[in-house]
Amino acid sequence: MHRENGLVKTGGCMCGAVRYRAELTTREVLACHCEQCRRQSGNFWAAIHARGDLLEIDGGDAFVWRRFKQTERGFCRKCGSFILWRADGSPDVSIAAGSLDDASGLTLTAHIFLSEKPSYYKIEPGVECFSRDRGEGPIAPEA
Amino acid sequence: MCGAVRYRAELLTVEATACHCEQCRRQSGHFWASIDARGDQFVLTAQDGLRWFRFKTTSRGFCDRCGSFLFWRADGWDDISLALGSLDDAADIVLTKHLYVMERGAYYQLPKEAVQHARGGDEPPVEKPGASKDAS
Repeated sequence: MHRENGLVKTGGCMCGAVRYRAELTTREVLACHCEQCRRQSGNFWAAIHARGDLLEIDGGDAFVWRRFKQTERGFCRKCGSFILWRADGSPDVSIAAGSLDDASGLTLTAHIFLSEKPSYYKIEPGVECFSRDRGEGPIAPEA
Repeated sequence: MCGAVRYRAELLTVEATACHCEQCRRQSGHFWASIDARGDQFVLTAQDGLRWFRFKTTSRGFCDRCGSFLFWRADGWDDISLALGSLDDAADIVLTKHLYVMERGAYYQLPKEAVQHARGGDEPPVEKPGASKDAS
């Protein structure tokens, strides 16, 4: 994967108890509509991708990772902000786009797991759509 | 997500609202969507993981076990907002308006038909739904 330099971003949870510094691997933002992400976020989740080995988390006891199947989800136990997601064996970590202090220069480029999307919202035009993950090729946007 | 918090609620409406304020964005990870339910008919059928976080004059309920953002409540309000993502069945729900779009994240656009309010829903919607925040 092409890696760009200088994409260092900071962010944190709503209450400020958890803060992080990350080096992004791409300027792309990915939205996930799977049931787990929807239940945890309350709507659907949007993530950026960063190098796991360079991720610095400052949260003390407020930050916790919870396992779910072959993944872990990190959040703030003080205010409940859903901040991080990582898959077992991946060198990268996904970070909630909503937690960024400054999201300028980043663009939402794909919606994934639309097969699990409920009907109450629409997808904006011009963004690639995928039934599951991006390994399976894009699908037509909904009418 | 993990099942440690479950509820039964009677909705006040099938019209749902999305909120783009900085607090909702930081807590949800993108932007939040919710539907209002009657506070006096709201029943928690599982609540082992439930924790409330106070912010100014509001409370935000989440699951301490899995970090799911579930509820929002304003002080003095009889009712409660439920996260749409937490519903077992959202088939009848329609998202009708987007609030606090002036605080929207820089990285996404909204569907063209979305009704957008700069702040709360008691103010009239902005005139150009779907227009980019960055457009000049």
